[in-house]
Amino acid sequence: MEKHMAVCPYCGAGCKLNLLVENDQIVGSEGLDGLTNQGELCLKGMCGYDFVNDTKILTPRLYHPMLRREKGGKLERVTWDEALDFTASKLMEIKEKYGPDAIMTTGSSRGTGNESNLAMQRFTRACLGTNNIDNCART
Amino acid sequence: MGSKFVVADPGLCIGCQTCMAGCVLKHSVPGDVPRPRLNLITTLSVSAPIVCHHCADAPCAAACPQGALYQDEGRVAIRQERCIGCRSCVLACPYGAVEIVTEEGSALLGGLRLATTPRAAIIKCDLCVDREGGPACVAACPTGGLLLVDEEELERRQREKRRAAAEAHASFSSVPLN
Amino acid sequence: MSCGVPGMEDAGCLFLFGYNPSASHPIVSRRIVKAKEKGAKIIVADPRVIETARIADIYLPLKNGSNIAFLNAFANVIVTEGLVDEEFVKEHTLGFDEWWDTIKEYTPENTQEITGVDPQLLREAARMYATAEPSSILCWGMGVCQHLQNVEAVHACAAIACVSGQIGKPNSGVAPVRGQNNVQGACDMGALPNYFPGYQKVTDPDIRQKFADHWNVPVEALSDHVGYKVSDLPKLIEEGKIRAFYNFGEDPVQTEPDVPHLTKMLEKLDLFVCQDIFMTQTAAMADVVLPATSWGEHEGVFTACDRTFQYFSQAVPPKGECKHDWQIFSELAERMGYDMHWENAQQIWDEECRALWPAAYGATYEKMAGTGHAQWPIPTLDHPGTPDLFLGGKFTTPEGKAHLVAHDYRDPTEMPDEEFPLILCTVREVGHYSCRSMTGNCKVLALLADEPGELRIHPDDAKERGIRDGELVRAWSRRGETMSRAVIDERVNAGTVYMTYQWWIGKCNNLTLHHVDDRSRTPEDKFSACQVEALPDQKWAERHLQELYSQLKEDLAETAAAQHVEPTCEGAE
Repeated sequence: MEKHMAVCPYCGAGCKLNLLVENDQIVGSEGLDGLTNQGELCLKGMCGYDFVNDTKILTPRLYHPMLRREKGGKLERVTWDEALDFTASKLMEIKEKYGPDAIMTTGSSRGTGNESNLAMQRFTRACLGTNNIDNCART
Repeated sequence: MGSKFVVADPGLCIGCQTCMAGCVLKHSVPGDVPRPRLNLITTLSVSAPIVCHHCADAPCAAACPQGALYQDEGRVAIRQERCIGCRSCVLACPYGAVEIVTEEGSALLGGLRLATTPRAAIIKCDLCVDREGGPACVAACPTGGLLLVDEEELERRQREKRRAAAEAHASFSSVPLN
Repeated sequence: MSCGVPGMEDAGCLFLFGYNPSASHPIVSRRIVKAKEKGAKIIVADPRVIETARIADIYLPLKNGSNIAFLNAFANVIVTEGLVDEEFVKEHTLGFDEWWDTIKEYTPENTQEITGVDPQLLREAARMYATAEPSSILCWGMGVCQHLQNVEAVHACAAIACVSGQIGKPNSGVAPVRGQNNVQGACDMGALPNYFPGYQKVTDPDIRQKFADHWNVPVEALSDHVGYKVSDLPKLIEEGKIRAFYNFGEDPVQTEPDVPHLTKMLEKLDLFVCQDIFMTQTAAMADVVLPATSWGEHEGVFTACDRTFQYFSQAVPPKGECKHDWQIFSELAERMGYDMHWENAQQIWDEECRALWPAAYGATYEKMAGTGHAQWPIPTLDHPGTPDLFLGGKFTTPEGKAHLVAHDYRDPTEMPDEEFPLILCTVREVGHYSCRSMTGNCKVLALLADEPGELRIHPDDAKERGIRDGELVRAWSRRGETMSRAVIDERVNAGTVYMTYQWWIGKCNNLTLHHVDDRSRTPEDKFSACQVEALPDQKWAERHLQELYSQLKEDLAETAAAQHVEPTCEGAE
């Protein structure tokens, strides 16, 4: 069994834990002596790891890019190239037609981490040219 | 070996249900039933998980016509294969700490097939006898609010209380005490 | 937070105002229990008897929505009973006289009708808070922020800490305990319409120049005005101002207020991109769905509620074709003709955060290895980090002094009436998180609490409606309706019902009012009017609930199943 150090992805307490991994599946978690948690975990830190394994209890994980070619149509799988080309050309088209402030993005205050938020805000500001970025801090 | 049981300190309990999660996690193995053996109860001033006391003269064991519940070295243990699901134990237990789960009680959870339940199963605290380090709930509680009480702990508490009571005797001594 | 979480247990007094740590942060709640064991005084002001109220020295059951009246009266006591730290006020604050002009009108006695709090008890609490040694901490949560007068209440809390001198020393001050694991981080990193990373203003030309240089764009390419806030999205779409929405790692269809209206608006977008790890209800509506790696499948840094940066590692390989979020942004930028390339997360952290935000410069990956951490401000490599802000009364305003600001009380937007006589207050589920896409897919957590969630109601309100404990009920408001399971709870105040916002079938945000305040644009999720009724046919209701739930899960599974059908044509546009 492998152990990988992580920080709990749930509340803002920032509890440190080890993820226990077998055959590329997360099979458990154990508290580490972190600054705030001192080895303790709550129920979410202790039992909140198996969503990563795609349990499909509530809803499935996403594995591949998908595209709805026309409004009202169904989502279908596409290649990364097609998904990104489509998104990029649509964003450029909207920026051209309505200006950069017609586009809005979000950061994510969840499991993705600070680096992705840094990348998204740079993308929004430097590439799209707008400050229309926000996160769900209010809800 | 004397009897043991798990009990909660209602002042340290924060009602977070981590004990219940620890219990379910421990029992989430094939052949077992993934349900909490202790249940958080809240009143206006008390929060505490309620769980089997492993009574020395256990009413649940006395009520079972099949001997599915029995005394095993100070612990009320379960012989699952003998349970007929008559629920006499549920009625008899003064703590509400025994449950009977039937097969329809364990449904599919999304796409996930949970451990299969026997036809009728007794769900109650087994003190995690097969777990190294003792009951999972006690280990899980983040405030240290659960205590595994054993003979030694009971004796220690008794000694403390008797000592405090003895001190109080000083007030009605017939002759002055130094 | 002006203090660290560990330091909470060494304060002399903890005042919890609109904050229920046992449900939102059990591991912070643990510190509060420890503080009590060490002899700290605990004050709880909350309409409900929350867990901590049971061990509080003083519990103040204030009425929902009365925060400003309460806090003003609390401040009034500190002044009129001579509990002001005169020296701190003189040396470290501005605007006391104007502040007092407003505060002097509010006494515990003349606000009692609004707050419902016994004036004597309020006076005792103010004395206990202001005189506690060595320090007091005023903690709050969404019970402050999701009310109409939220920013006003934050001003009031900060002023109370200042005038009583309970800030500017170790383990003191103000503790707005952030809810989500990295909401502090998202804000720190500039996922806000008014700030670059590190709270550097987008309206400051020098700051814009610094970022433009670093990002290799002409300064004119950076917008010089503050952007829109996400809570205004439905309105902005309706007005035709927003045409494209790129939603990243959030689920507004679950978490935003007045979902029925929001859903209608999202359908009107020219482009709706959703980047997530799950087929959420929001993702199912998108035009483009981009699969990202999950926590556990990537490394990075989170910021905890007390400004502590902590590193987390990758445990398992990504699923399917999932890419890291930052890779997706980088590849998208490249296609739009902008070069924004990194090799790994550490490079982003060093180049985009540490290099541009002086207060984070000392927070290296090395320092955060293992159980290490770095609490900002941490300006140099050998800096130990800063658990306590504002030490010695040095504030971050241009004058270095705290500005005391007071506000008058206003009634909440939608007061209960004959048709909707109950207040709906949305709260948190201890075993589930945010929109529940993560915890709802965890076996043990799903076993402990599942749909449709609970509606907690006072015994009198339940009796009046013929509602029995554990039965399914219907709840509705001017916005919409939902189904929930009634829990008759003596800890709940009469006239208010409490629902947790984690449930997809028992969705309380079908009912909530989308009214945001003018300053922070935060929805008034803690106060809207609703009605609840018993469902006479419980067998039907239970069956109906199961049908709705199965249908929802089937629909999402079916939408997601399309991803397993290989694309027919490569890269066709």
